[in-house]
Amino acid sequence: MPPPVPLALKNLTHDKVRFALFAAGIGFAVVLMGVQYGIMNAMLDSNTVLIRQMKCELVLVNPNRASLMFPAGVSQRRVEQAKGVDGVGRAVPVYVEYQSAELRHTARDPRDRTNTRRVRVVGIDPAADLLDLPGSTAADRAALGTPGTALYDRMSRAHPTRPGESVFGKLEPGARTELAGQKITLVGGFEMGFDFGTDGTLVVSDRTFVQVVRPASFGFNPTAEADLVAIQLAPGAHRDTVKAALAAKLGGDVLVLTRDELVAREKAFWWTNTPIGFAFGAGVVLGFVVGTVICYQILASDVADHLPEYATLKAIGYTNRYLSWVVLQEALILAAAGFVPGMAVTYGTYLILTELTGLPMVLTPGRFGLILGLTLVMCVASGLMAVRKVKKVDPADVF
Amino acid sequence: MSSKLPPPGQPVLRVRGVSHYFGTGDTRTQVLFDNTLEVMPGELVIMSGPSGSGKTTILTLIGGLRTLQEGEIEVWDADRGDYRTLRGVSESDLVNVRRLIGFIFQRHNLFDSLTALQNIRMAQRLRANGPSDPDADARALLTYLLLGETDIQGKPQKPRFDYKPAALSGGQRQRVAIARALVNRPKLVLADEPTAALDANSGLAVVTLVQQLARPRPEADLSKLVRSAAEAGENGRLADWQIPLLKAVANEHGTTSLIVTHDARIMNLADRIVHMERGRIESNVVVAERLFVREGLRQSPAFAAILPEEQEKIADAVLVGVHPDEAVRPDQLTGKSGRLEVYGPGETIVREGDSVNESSKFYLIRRGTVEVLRADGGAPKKLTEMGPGRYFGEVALLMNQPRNATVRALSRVEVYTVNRATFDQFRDVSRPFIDRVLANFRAGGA
Repeated sequence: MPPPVPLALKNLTHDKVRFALFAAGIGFAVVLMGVQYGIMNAMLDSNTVLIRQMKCELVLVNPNRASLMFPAGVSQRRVEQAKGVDGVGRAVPVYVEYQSAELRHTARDPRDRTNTRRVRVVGIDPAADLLDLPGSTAADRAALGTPGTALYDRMSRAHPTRPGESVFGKLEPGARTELAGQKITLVGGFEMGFDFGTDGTLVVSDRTFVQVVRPASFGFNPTAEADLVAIQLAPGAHRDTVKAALAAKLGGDVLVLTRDELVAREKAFWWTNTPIGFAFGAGVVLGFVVGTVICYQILASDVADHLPEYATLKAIGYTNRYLSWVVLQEALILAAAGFVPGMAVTYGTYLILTELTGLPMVLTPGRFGLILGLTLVMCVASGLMAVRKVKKVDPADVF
Repeated sequence: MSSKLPPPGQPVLRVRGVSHYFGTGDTRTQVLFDNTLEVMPGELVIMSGPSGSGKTTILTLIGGLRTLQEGEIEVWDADRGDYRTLRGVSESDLVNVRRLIGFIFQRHNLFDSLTALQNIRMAQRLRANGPSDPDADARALLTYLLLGETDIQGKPQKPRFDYKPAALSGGQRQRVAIARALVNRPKLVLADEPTAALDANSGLAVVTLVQQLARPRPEADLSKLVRSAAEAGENGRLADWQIPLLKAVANEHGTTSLIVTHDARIMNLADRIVHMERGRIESNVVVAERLFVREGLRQSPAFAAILPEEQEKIADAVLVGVHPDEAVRPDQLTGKSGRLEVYGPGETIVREGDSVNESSKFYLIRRGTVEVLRADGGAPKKLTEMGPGRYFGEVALLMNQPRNATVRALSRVEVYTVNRATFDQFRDVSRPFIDRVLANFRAGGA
């Protein structure tokens, strides 16, 4: 028997220009899906950067704290209780302030001064080394031990008109400025990024946090409640066992979550309580629908253009199964031809958007796989619709 | 490949009582009416008739391209050594029938995206046990059809094997399509105007190939086709290098072809001509049988009184649609009473002294041998023996004398018969013309 004839490939690539247009059509759908999905993920990712940078296995959180943004804390008593649970290495309180922390740049040059603007302040015992702060040096982090110092986020929201400056003004090591009405010195930077709730983040020591952001006042002990409690396991302890033990010990007023569960919970909050999910999810669906229509049009017109030839194949003894397989192969070739350039453009767009907006657009293998999967489903679904057309081809039409 | 022909005397294709309808409900129209046809192995059958007479419909039914509604069609499967019926079978069985057949369509229907060889390969892929080098086989076929390295003059040319249809002329595309249809050496070829787009030389190459696939032709016949362009005229010619290639590519025989055509070049080669009118097979003539009967009648002095075209009508009225080399089966005579009689050895066909009347017959021997006896003083004396093509009993057509000899079958004998009523009917048509000729002749002589 002679070698198989790659009919599907030949039919599609016979006219190179047409094939390029086909690939561009499918690629467009891939870009639409990829970019919308990317923005959606970036938005959800940006809200969870802080959690993901915590070096811990478990987190204690107040069940009423639907999102990191809302104030509801875990009592210090619970922190102490947690420390007593088997398998818990350390329980580190994390303080996060969204509301009352305002940053005002008090530069020497009046032109560099800014108005007050809310900033997120994270207070942690520097000795605990809990946060992974990319872009910061150990010296910077050690400098936080001095009260009244802060590390600033180099990826804070950019100033709309002054290039290279953040909305908080010129942030640089050594800058002396004002946080919540108190003097503060910036000792170094790190990279985290802004999100829906904040334009940027300052990291300070727990002592500085108490002094500057949540000063003790009559009847109010700022450290009585931690916003989050990071649990680091003792060596050899099993995460799920410890989690169960903590949940049993602490009761219903504390939620024990793995770090990933907290990330998912935070994302779910933003997904359901804001239009992000719908808006960008609809974008993905739109891309899928557009791609399906384009792919179906290509395949259906291929069948229509080759009607006498397909009828001839049936007449000489080819089965419906073979012809259906040809159409499905064409669908898969279109998927591949559209996906490769489409994904390249998508990735390029991610880089550009990250550069332009600061949104963390990341292409994980899972997300790559999802776009590939959607592209395949899109093409195979339209292939299956076009198959019905080729099955209807009447071999008697050849005469 | 172990391909078998049907048992002797059995057809490769059997169509029985086939009717067909298009449309449903009020628009349901009958397009075929109770058609019956048998085609023997190796026959070249021409389907003729005006457009709309149902030729193509019956071809699509035979090819398994349409679902059979009424009647029975059986196609011989050479690989299985059995008939495949087309009545009430599943789509997959129909597909198997289609694979037995080589289809040549009026339109070439080649894939634009594939080269000539790849288009042919699409057909080759359907044959499980083809030649060891399928591409070489396809190239040989294309070369024979003048698409290879050599042209009709024997001069080198660019082979068209790897050309896509867009780079080929209409005739070249059609030849690729013909190669695709014949490359699996099907035992049944269904063709619709296969040579319409072809020039004389290509047309002749195709027709000769189809014929050679039916049965090998004598070398002398083939070499007659190698001639000069002037000699060939519109009939076309073959190049001498094509002859050995023809023998190489037509390496299997017994192919039967059903061809719808108006091309006289093919018509002249037909073994059987099936004429259709308004959905019915009006005539089904085996050309060799027609020639045999016409020649037989022409020899008899009795028929000299009948005009040649009327003689032909008498001849056509007794044909049974079976080649004179083949014995007739009883079922082939149903609905054809009064045309042919069959006698066993020793049976008497006419007896000396039997009285003769309107229903007495003239006999033309189709098969077998008879002896002629006459009473000679009591004991019958054998006058002679007669074989196929000879006739007896013609006196009965002309006068009421008793039979003057006894004719007895020596073997199984088949005889065509013409009775006096039929004869008189045609003689009456011819008489005024013949009388006028005679009158002129007498006047001229006087």
